[in-house]
Amino acid sequence: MKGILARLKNEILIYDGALGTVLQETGALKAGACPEELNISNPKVIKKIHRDYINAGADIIETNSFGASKIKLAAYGLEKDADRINYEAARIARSAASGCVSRKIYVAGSVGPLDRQVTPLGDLSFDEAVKAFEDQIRKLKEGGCDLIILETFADIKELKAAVIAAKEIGGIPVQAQMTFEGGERSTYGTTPAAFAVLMNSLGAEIIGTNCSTGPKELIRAVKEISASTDGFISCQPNAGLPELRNGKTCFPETPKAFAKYAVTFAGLGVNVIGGCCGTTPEHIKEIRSALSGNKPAKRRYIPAFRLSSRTKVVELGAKTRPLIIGERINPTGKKDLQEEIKQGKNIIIRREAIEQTRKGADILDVNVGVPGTREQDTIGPAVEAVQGVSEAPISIDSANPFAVEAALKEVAGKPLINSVNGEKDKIDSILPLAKKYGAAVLVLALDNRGIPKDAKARIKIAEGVIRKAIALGIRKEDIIVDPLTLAISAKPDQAGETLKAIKGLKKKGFPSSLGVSNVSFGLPNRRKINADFFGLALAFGLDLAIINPSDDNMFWVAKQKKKRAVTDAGIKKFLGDALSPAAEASKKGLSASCEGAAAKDVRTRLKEAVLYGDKDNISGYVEEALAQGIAPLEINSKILIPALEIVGRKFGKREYFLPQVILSAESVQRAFGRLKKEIKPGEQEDKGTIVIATVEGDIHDIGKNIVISVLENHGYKIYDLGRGVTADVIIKEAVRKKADIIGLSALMTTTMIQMERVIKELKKKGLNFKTIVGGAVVTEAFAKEIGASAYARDAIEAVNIVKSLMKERS
Amino acid sequence: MKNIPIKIPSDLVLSRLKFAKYKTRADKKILSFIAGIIDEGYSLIEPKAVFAVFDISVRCGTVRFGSSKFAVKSASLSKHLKGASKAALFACTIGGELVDRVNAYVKKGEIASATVLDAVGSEAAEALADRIDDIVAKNARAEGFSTVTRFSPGYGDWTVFDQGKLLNALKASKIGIKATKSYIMVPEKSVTACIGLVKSGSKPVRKVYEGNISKAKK
Repeated sequence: MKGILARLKNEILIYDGALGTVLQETGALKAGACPEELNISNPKVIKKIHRDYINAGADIIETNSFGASKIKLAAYGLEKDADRINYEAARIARSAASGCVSRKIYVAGSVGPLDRQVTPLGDLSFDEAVKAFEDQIRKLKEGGCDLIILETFADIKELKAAVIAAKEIGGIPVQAQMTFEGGERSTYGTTPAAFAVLMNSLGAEIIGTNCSTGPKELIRAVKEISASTDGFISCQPNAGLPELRNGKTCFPETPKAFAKYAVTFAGLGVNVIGGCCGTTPEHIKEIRSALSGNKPAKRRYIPAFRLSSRTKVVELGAKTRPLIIGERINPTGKKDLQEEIKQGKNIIIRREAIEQTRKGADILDVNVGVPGTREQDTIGPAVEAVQGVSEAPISIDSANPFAVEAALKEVAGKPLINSVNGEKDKIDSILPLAKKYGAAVLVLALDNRGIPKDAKARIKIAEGVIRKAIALGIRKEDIIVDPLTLAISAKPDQAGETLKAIKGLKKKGFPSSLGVSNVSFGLPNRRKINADFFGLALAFGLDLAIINPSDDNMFWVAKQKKKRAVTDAGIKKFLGDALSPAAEASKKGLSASCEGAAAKDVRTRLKEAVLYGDKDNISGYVEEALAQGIAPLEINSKILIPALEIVGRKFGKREYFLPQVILSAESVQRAFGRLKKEIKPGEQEDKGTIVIATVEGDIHDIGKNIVISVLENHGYKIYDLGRGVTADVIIKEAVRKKADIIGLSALMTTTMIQMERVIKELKKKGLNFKTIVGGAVVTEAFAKEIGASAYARDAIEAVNIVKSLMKERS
Repeated sequence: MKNIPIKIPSDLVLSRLKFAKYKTRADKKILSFIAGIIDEGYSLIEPKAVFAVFDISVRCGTVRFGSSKFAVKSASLSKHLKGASKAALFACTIGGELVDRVNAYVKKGEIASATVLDAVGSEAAEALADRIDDIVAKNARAEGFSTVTRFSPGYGDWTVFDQGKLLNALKASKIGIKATKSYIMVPEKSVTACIGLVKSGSKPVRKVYEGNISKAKK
């Protein structure tokens, strides 16, 4: 008898409808009971539902095992019975299917999501998830299933684990389905296209969607899936969106209306149609009669190099060429990144991912190879970190198969493996991983004898690897060849061979990629040479480029559609330009803005440096003012402080916001730093001394630091006691430093009570320090209640209040 | 959940820094300075969260969360959860790296960078809480529930003294959140909250199995 896949080429097969909702109607399922347990305690009722669907016209029936993974059954204390429940689920369906003599009925082993989420969404490791799915699928297969249906998944990574498990068990077709809210995205952001690209690559034979919404909303999802796979497509919608009528959940789509949509789906090329929640044998009967004699419509699928992340697909096409692979997540020559990787941190990696994506990188290369570290331990967290901040698909850059596999497990999409080459051990270790995890591969045109000198030999090596990849089941469009760039400073003739190899590969239908910047190694003016070579390589047909996305020159070249001569003369001209002594860049004089600044009087410049927070230049201006003979105290009291006061007023009017005030304060700080050397002790006016602290129990001190910075610049002597300071210490220090004022800060309702304690202690000890309080939760009323001298809302208010408190003291 | 993608809303960062839309005159230089710090923020945050849904009972101003020992005595929370049969508790954090960098800036005397980065951290934590809120709501919808706005310790009469117990109920130490003796969460930029789930009729439901499993957990 024909296998299901052979039949799907020419026929539309009809799935059954809901099992759960129908089961509830029978009354056999008690509230709170496990539906799958009925496979053991009441197999008759399950078989009856299967038979009803077969009689209604279903060609494929689903086993009662959606929630029968060990992990999920554990919620009922049934994990020990998992094997039996799954095996029996298949046996019951098989037995119902054999009862039908008029036509072949297929049994699909139903597998739903586990009850625990896979990392990073949950704490279940990828390997644990694969194992849980394998256990379930093995038993379903042993029980006699014809195919496995993985359905209602919301997390693409969990579904990836399930497909890999099904493929590892092997021997039966896999149908993979996700559920899309409103037909647009899964709960965790995956689009139907991103889902289909990965499933296609993992080798799921039937790809589709079920549940979540009614048929109308799923039309869009089906169209998107259809464009991203050449596999068979399935669709099992709910019977509309459920409504609550008289306290009962009802699905509004009638069997007839539902069947109309089935015809629409058939027109879109869907090969397998059925129903999910709320559908009944009646719905299936109507679908059968509506689709009688229908053949699946022909679909148009264009094979292309495609990668995906959890939420996005990147495709190589006329409009997107060249795709840019960001090269900066690579510790070679970067000490800070090497150090971070050693420490198990990913801050720089995340920053590089963000910046490269912002600059326009389509794909992010991840390389964490640092001597003295285990790459297989560090690459997974690095991939996770990149995926957390960027939608760009990932290129796994490692020669170590263990590291490659560790990374493949973490990727929530279809990555590129960078790279495999003509060496036997690389072919044997890397290609099977690409097949298993659904990755594309980049083939380096070299083998154990090194890089061949001429283009033809490089293409030959690449073709050898490609043949082996295709034999393993990797698609031709998932293979990219890197014909390798060599430094022209050492081997100038090699640039031509690389370019010719690109052209040769193009002719044979293989996309190419280059690490472009190697070309200029050891030469001056590298950016120019890189850009020039990049332009030439694009003209020869380059499709992908591994570059530094921060190099705007390269992006400019990528966007130029300028035609360049694809000839030997073109190559010769490039080499001539690149290898001729670099013309020295013309040295421009001061820029117009600098000249403008120089034209202004130094007092104005100093004032403006404060007003605009120009902390980089202010020290220079102070130097200049001193050289002109302006007295240090005059600079301070006649220029800097008045400028700060303007800043304060602007803040009061909200013309300035907080960062401007602080930058001004920081600028003045720098100026003071220089002036201090000139001002003799005693010359500086004593404006007052303040001891300031964040109170005991509180760890927040950013507000306190702003206040300190501003007060200091207004000439007050500040002693910062830090945060979490006890009342005793604050008082002791205030006495020791002969303070005029004690400043107290707190951010929490739980810690602001400590302010009261300080004030009470002061009173008890008969100390008459002025006190000023502030912090997010502190209010004027609270300040009064605890007997503080004053409350300040912000740093600028604090300056004015401190001024008046000092007056009161004198 | 780890590495949850979030978007730091730059407009909210600006308003946290007292930017007034029609009054403040900020030049390009200061705005690009802030944009740079926001980028830095993205590289420093490690959004992590835990959440769990409980069947709840509300009696005499006390909310009890399923079979866990966690209970909250709060009239405001009780009122807020009116009509809800379940509630999700969550704890989320952007991790400690950002705050460490803020402190490093303070040490170097770069208070402007510290202040802006601190504001970025606060907004990132809020954005993360919104994202978790969203995930809880989506999951709830799939089960036929709608959600009410989130409510955190410190709101109304729900005391922050419950912070530690809430974190324990969620085993939040798994994602590195602890409460200090003064009930402050460490890492600093962390949020805890409770979201009520109300049974609704007009929302899609996931397969009946899911519903039964949650019933079985009662």
